[in-house]
Amino acid sequence: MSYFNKAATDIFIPDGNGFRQAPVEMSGLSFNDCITFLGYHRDQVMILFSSQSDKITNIAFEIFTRNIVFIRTNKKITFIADRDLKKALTGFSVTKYYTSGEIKNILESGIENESLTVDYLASVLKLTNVSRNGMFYASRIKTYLYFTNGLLSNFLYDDGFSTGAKELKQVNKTVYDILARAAYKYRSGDDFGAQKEINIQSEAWSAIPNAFGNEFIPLHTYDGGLVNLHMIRVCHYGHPITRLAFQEINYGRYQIISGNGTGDVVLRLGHFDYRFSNTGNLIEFKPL
Amino acid sequence: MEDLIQDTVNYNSAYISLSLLDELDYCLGGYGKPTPEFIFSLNTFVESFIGCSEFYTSLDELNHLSLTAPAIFPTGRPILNMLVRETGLKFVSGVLETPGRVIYKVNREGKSKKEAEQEFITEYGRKLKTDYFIQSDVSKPATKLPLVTGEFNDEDEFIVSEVQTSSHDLISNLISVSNTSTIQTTLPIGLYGQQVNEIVKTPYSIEALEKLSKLHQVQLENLLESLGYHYLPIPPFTTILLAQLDNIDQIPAKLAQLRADFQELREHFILLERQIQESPTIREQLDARKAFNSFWTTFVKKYVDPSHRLLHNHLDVFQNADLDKSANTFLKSHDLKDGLKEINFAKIAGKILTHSMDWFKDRKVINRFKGLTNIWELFQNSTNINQQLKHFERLFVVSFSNAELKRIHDFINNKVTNIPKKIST
Repeated sequence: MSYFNKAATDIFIPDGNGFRQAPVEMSGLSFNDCITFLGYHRDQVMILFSSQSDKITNIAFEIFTRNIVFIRTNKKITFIADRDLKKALTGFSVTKYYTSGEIKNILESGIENESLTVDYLASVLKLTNVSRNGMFYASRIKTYLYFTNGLLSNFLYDDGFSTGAKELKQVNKTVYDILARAAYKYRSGDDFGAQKEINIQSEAWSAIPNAFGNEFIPLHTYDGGLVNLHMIRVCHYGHPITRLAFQEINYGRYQIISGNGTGDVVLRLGHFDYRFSNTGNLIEFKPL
Repeated sequence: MEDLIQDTVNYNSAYISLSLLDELDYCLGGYGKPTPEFIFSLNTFVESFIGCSEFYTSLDELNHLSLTAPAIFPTGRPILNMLVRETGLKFVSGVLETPGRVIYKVNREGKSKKEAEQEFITEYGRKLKTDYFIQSDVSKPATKLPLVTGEFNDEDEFIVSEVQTSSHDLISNLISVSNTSTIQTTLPIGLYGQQVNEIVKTPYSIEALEKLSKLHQVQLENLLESLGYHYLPIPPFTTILLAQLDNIDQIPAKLAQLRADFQELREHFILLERQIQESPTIREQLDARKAFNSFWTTFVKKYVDPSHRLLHNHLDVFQNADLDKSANTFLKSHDLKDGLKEINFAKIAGKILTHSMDWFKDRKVINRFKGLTNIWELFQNSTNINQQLKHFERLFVVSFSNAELKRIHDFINNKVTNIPKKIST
């Protein structure tokens, strides 16, 4: 199926079962301006950059769906055929695209910018029987959504605590299991403490270069295979840490070498000694 | 799209206390062992979950939930999650203006709102559990509920405050915006006791009822019979649920299944409430109730050993009669008798004489607390409780001593106004 249009813009918008060229006013608009022109907020639209088609360069979707908001093409294009669209969408899958990290980013932006309304999310996530105020489950993204006065105000997952950890669990369960094993080994019976540790370690995993392939991993490995990613972040990438935070994240795994409460305190963990001032700031760390 | 969004409280709705949900998730999520008080919590929740169509909580409680749940229940909340998945958990507009005590204040320093909240949970998490998780204990009934609520101010600060509120405040807030006739309340045992004591001390003004009976040409006796609490036989839901379980992890799935099995029950509750709401006269409201009772007689026949829920019958009159004002007075003063003095009977008469179609529009109700779990029957030495105790021993590996159960009996006998006694007299 093809649609001829006389106006020459490089933007196409849905029209019945096909697409037509956008009004001439949209010619030359940026992506953000196109989105606004069509009545959306930037957070409500996802733009896919297509490398599969020589005609279609970008496709803008309503988030979490395959509902097309507009298509950007090469200048010469005057119609979009089904086969062009199919080609441009080769390899695109909503399920694969929306990882837990991507979902988290979208929802966080929506909360920050007050841009995700209950009407919009009900439409794209197929939520039924919702109200402007309340907590509802979006099965498509496996997330509990809170709305206040018609706007998304918070979100939680089934397992409650983790946000950073959730992404890691999805992307690399092997690493997640190693971190979880370490946390529960030293915090038996303390679910909150264990989940908190897993979360902090997961954040470190996404913050350090090369993640689990990081060059400093051998320096922070302990107990025959457990790894302290957070201390890699501290020691080699300048992440600040106080003595209190050190003692909490490394609970059960460090020794007090010196310190009587009036001067510096040296704590030994793995292959390093960490010296903290009496105000709790990290002064230095030295290999053993 | 407009149809998707509903902002009014619908028929056959329940207010559910966050404390109750906390307690259920604590025991059923494997965070701790049940106490004898939990028997009541489970029973009242199961009755509401199966019997009610929609669930509401207060805005304050929902704010509290979003800030505390990840810390208090770090590995998840099976019951809250199931409730939200099955029905959603709604709240209505209206914020309590109670001044709060600031417990946490931090500059966001470029963090997103979600990150700031997450940081609060990480830093303050342990205190959240010790300060804000309350397991029911009849020997230490809580009069106030501490709730936390967060806000972002113009100075880019994230501030978390503690608000002390009572269950009464929370329920009143919900009822004040309800357009439907009744609200089921689902509360932990301590708050249940408070609620019962409040609602039974407010008998109807006979003078008001006499006028209503004349206006609607019904016998005062019929009217009186249709007010107040009555027994409603119901299937022993909790015993049915527990008997189906091999372990407590199965509770969410089995409960959802039970709810689906009893959809017809909920439809009849909705029908009754709608008919009462839409009937132009009290006589027709009474007829609707007769039809409902007839359904129930057939419905519960197949259950050999039904429980008996306490159901409050109600009348419905319209807003222009200043009954809202009366209800509001009641909610503020806790005294319905005083509240009813403000009814404008002239307006009621005027409306009847003109047969205005407005008669049955925008009406609210005299008493909106619909059903109560029959705590007196539950803790009697009945087949039902004995069966439940055996299941508790099997599923939770706990057994309650006679002394522990006596503590509950004493609470019921000494601290809760005896509604069944009022029914029998």
